[in-house]
Amino acid sequence: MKLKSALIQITIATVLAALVPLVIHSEYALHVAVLALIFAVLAASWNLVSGYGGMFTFGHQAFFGLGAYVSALLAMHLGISTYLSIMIGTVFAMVAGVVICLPVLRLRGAPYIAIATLAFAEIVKLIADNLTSLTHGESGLAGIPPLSPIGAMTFSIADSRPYYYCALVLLAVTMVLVAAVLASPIGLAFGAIRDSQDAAESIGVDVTKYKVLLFMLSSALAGMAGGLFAHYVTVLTPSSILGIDVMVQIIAMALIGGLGTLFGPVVGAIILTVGLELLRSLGDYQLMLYGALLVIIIIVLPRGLSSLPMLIASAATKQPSLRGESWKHPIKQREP
Amino acid sequence: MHGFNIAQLLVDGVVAGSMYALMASGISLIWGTMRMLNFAHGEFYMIGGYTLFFALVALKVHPVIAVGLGLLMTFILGVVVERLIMRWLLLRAEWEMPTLVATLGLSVFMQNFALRTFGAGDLGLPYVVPGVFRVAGVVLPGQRIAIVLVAIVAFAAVWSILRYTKFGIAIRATSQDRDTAVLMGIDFPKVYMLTFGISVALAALAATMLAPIYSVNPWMGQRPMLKAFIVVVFGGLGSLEGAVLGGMALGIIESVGVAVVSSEWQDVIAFAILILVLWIRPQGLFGAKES
Amino acid sequence: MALLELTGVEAGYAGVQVLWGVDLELREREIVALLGANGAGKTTVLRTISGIVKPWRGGISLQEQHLDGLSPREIVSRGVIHVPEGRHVFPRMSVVDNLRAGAYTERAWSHQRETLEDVYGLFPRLYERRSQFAGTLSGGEQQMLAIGRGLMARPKCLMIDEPSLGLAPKLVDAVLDLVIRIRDLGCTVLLVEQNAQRALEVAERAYVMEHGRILFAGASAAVAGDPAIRQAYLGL
Repeated sequence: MKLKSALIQITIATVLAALVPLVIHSEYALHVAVLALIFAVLAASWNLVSGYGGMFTFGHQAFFGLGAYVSALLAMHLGISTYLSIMIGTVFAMVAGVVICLPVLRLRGAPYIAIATLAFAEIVKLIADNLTSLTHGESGLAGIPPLSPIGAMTFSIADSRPYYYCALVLLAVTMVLVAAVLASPIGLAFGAIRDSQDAAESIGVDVTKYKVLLFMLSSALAGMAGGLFAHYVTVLTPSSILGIDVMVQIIAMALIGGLGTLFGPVVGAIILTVGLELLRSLGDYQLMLYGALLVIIIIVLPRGLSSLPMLIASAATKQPSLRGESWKHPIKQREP
Repeated sequence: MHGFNIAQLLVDGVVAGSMYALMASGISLIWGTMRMLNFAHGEFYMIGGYTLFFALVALKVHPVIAVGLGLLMTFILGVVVERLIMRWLLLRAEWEMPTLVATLGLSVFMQNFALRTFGAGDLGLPYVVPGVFRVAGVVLPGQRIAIVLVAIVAFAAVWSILRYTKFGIAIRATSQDRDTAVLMGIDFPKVYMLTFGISVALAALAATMLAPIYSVNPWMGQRPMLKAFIVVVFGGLGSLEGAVLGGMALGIIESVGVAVVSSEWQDVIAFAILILVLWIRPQGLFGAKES
Repeated sequence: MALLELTGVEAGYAGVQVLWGVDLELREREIVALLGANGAGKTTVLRTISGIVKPWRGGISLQEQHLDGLSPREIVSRGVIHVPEGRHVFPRMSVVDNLRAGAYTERAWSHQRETLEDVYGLFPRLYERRSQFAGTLSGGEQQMLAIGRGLMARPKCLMIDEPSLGLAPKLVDAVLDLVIRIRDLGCTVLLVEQNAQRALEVAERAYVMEHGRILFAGASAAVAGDPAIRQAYLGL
């Protein structure tokens, strides 16, 4: 996708989304919308490393949680502006991203990357659990200040509308950054890396440098989303933002929309957050549903909803593409 | 007991380590044969725990039968999961990421299913093996002795199956060169199915041994699975010997380490070392280098 | 009577057709060479016979019973064995376990001991190395093991893909010698070779392939004696 057309699409989508609070007046519906937008930022930022960078990480919740806790604690204890604290939280998340990407870059093979990133997220969660004097552990960090006022716009727990606009701006910025990265030489290089890491290296693409940059951007965006989340919900517990459940939601969103597509993760986040809210009667069964969804999507629609038109088309024309492969041998040799 | 009795710590370490080794060997077996990582391994452990609980408390059967039921139940569930879910993914050209995602989804599904069905409470169990022995100041509850014995028997069984049986040849051939194994007439989908079942049954075995010591709840498999991940990384994914050595090492280090670091920070250090090991030796400390 | 017969077999991978109507016939107790340049489709013929690739059209039969559409396992158990190119021994299994893996089907498994003795008789070297890991064997020994492993299935028809690949000339002689001995034991051999000269020396008949088609079929002497074929397709 050309940068220009991507930017036009992002602009149109943002303007349309900005009109939503004019139509929807229910505080509850807006609350769901804010969560959808924050999760969209998470899914889109995870998509950067997993979908485009080809590094399938399982610890994205760590950056989200780091951004949230650091910003919340700074704002509570130092009394600084929440925007400053969110920025500092973002830098923390970014630095953490660089730290964990160094070992990850050395690993070939999805399972090793999955274990390393999961272990990292577990470390962050355990630290949040253990530093009870700071975080109060599972009993929860309460009394986080809402976002500092911007001019006449003030923030409070009672009103989701201002947060909606904040989250929308963050999402729009995220999308513009993702689009810009994709259109830049980095993005082009990633096309090559995804096709073949060795080939990319041999044509002189500095794979490592680009991957580090991608990791930094991705974790910074997740950290910023975490900061916004902290000052929105004003209560944090390690399990609610650092648990593997958060990661499961992010993966489900990115996958259902289509990994490695610009809008897929955002669409996925909106569909799942709003869709599951509509199925409110399921209530406690939400996470069960998320788990089942992951399994079903990966079997039925591994490329997400974005591949649906293509699948229908090929089914309609009955392409013989799978004939003669009934023993279904993987092309990839499993062991040298 | 005053201070730290080093012999006691070592014994406790071996007990814990033998269970880590059981968990890790299951993960390693699946990895070695099917080249996939099972993120739901801990949930099969949980199934083993709940089955034991209901067999003992509701059906009031003999503990040995209860353990057997736990293994059987988990084995069947594992076979079904492999057949209904993993099969489709493993036959694809790109299976590493999809199997990770599917098992992660399965893990969350099973955990929350247990939460909805059985509730969040901890279910306590009496020790299956009664009695406490004291040898030279070392306290040995019967349950813990049984744990070590059961682990030894389980490893001997798995090792003998792999080494001597026709099915063991099929597993080894499939894991070393699947496409050639097909030319021998080896039905690798069946090998996958049974391997998956055996692997998760090993997790259930660990659960039935540990459930009386800890307790049964929907999240009971999380810690042991993460510990097992540490072990397989230390021991090298796919290596049974590595899983046993790594498990023992982790158990003893943790047990003795309490003298130095409080237990809530131990896991932080263990995970940090895990990342460090992966960084320096991605093939594991004991693992052979895969070219 | 034909032992194995292919009629008008078309097959390929992922929608790309490789074989365009292959007719092939193997009789009892004969060595047939399947020749042709790289990429002519020789290996695909073997993979189609052994059931790894399913034929799109055409028929394959063994002693007038259909083979096409059967799973690789069923085809192996009917005695059609494919020894793959590049040997593909199981590197971290002992020689004897590699051989036992070859006897995996029910029928072969129950006769394991006798077959093992026969195979050790043919390959004394494998007996000497029986408890060694297959990965530690030399290239020639691995080829012997791959063929021996194929024999463990008690084949009616043994299809050997490029046995001389990467072997020193002396070892090539030894391998082709064995092919003759295997035939003399009553087994039909389909020999895929790039080393056409040597293959024609041991085979009774030969097929020459190009672009997924059989271009020429006939007695080895006729193939070897046709200057046009020699030059154009066999590079002799």
